[in-house]
Amino acid sequence: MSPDQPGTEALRPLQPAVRTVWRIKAGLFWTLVFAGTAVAEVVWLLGGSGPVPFGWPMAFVFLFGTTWTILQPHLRYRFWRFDLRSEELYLERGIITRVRTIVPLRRIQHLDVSQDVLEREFDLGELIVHTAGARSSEVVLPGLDYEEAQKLRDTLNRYILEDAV
Amino acid sequence: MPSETSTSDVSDARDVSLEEMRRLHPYTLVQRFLISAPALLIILLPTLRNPDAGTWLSVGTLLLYGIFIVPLFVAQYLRFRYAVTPDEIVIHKGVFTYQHRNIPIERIQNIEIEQSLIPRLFGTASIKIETAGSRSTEGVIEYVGLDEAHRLRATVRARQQARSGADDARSGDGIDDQPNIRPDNSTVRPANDGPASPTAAYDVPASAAARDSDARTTPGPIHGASRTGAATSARHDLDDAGDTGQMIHEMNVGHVLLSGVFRFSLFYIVAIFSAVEYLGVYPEDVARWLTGDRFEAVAAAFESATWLVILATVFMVTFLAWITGIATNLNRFYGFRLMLDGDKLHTRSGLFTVSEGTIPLKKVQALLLRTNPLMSAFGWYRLELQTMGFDPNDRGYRVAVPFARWPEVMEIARTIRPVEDPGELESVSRLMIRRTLVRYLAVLVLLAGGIGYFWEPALWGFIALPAVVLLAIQQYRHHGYRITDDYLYVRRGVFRESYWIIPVDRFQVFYLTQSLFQRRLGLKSAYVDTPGAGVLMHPVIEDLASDDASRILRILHRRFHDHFHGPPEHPTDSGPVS
Repeated sequence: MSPDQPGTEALRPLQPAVRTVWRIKAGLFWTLVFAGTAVAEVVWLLGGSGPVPFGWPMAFVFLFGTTWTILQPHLRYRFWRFDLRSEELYLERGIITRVRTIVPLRRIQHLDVSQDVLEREFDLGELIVHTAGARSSEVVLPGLDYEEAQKLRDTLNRYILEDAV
Repeated sequence: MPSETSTSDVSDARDVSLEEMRRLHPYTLVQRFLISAPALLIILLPTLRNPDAGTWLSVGTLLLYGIFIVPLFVAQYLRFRYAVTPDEIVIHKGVFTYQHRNIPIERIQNIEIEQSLIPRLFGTASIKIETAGSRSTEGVIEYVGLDEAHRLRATVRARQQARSGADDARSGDGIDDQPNIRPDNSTVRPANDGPASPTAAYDVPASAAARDSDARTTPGPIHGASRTGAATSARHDLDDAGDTGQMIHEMNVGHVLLSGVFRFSLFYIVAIFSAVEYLGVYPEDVARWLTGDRFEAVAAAFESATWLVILATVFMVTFLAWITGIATNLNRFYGFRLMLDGDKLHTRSGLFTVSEGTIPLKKVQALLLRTNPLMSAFGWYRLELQTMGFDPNDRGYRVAVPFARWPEVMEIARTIRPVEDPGELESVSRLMIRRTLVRYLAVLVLLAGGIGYFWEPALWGFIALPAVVLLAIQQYRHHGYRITDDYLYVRRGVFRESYWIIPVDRFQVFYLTQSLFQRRLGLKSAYVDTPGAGVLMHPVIEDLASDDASRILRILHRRFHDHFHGPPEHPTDSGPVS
């Protein structure tokens, strides 16, 4: 097959459940930031005067964090597309900066499937593609069904070996 | 549990059940406790020194250690399993995040067996698995028995050996840097991948075993007893390689001095002044001690005029930077020689410390011609080779020609790879000027405005405005690219101009990016990743018109594809990238 690109409609989205995982992670992160801000503000308040009026940083963090937690996973999911083609793995992603990546299968060094505690709850996994490229030593494809991530890994694995001989 | 099912749907040949996978050496736990002990001691140190105060603290720490760290060690030990299948090394690990790593055996460059102090007491070793082109170790199996480590290495070697017979076609792959020693060492040949000779790339199992047993009797850390795995007979030929081979480039003292004239080194000045400051020796005192009071009048004159001080400082710094630049350059490149020996390049240079280097042609990923405005005004360039291989010393950029004019550099480059001079490069979109300018202006406003908010004189920074405009235009003029059948040429940078020549067969991963601002201007950037490319300066083709960018990436991808498959059957069959 020649390296031709089918239209966008042929690309596959991630598992929708990954939005929830991202949302929980973002929520946890912003809760931590909010807690930190709250502590700092209380310390300032007890110490007399802070650099800004009491409550403002907390309000800002709360609003920004909430917006981020609601919007970012949704947008991130919306712009993620991938496709396994006969000779390459094609990825599209990015909210602000859109990135398209073509990983020729023959360039794959090895593959990892990883799953963290949250992803385990949703039966999701990540496929991590390692190449020799300086900036592409780890190309991550998140939000896959765990079974499918493993299947994908095994398919690609078989491909590398066949190709290499 | 996910880990149990992970390998179940692998094809029969590579099927490993969890029972077949091996655990680490049981001493792992003891060793990890021992290694964590010093940290624990440091935490407990205050209490140990002063037993009266805060015993609860040490008890608390111990409790934390007992509750979290010890079970973590146990869990990590229980979760870590590995196996060697005919095709790959499989490593399963992770307590909170499961990680299953499959490393194809034929991609393995080297297996290093390391034994540091504590493991030596317990008779265990750690296995480090390096694959072609990886930046770091791909897999580490720590704390296995030494025998087991050697057994594993021998197994992998034997399996690689078994495969290498059918391995001819492989070396066309970009970063396959298995040593491929040819019998005709003296012949000059292009680095372009011809059909690889079926030379055994790895030791035969017997010799590997022999070497391993040698290694076992060696006291002290065993450090990759066979680093390259080159056939032993060929190894001898290369030992005195510093003086063999065909001379490609040589520099005499005058030439080295001349090249130093174009180099400024601020580093040593900063170092010297820091040292002087640290030792409490002040330049004023030294000057007074040297000259007495004769220059009091001059000093007074300088003290009265700020601009004179600034001027003198700039002059002095430039002068010193220039002198140290010449000196360090002389020390580094004195007696520079570049030699071609079969499929390896040898470099040797240095005044006080003579450094030698070997660059296997197979590891050369890209050629990089560097210059600065001063050098390029006189037509001088420096040729560096972007390399990538197992050995850390083989990574990054290696100077092949420190200082030569363009035609000479190209001629030398042709002995390394059959490159051609592409002539004039193609320009990117003129909108690049606008984008670059906006970026520079943003930085200028933030810096000058930000500092100026607190310290008014910083607002004078805004007189740099015309210079910034000029710089943006120059950035555009210096940026160019060209694609030929076998190479991608990219030039970037004003003060440090870089001109990359990237062979099609070294392409790794293709990128097309579009930032928010680029989206407004209808621009995209294209980038082809190569092993060992720098992070700060890399050959991205910035700010192409969207359609051009997609077209260029498609062409590059097709060239890459055709290199490995021959021309496609339907040349007209092409869709848009975007």
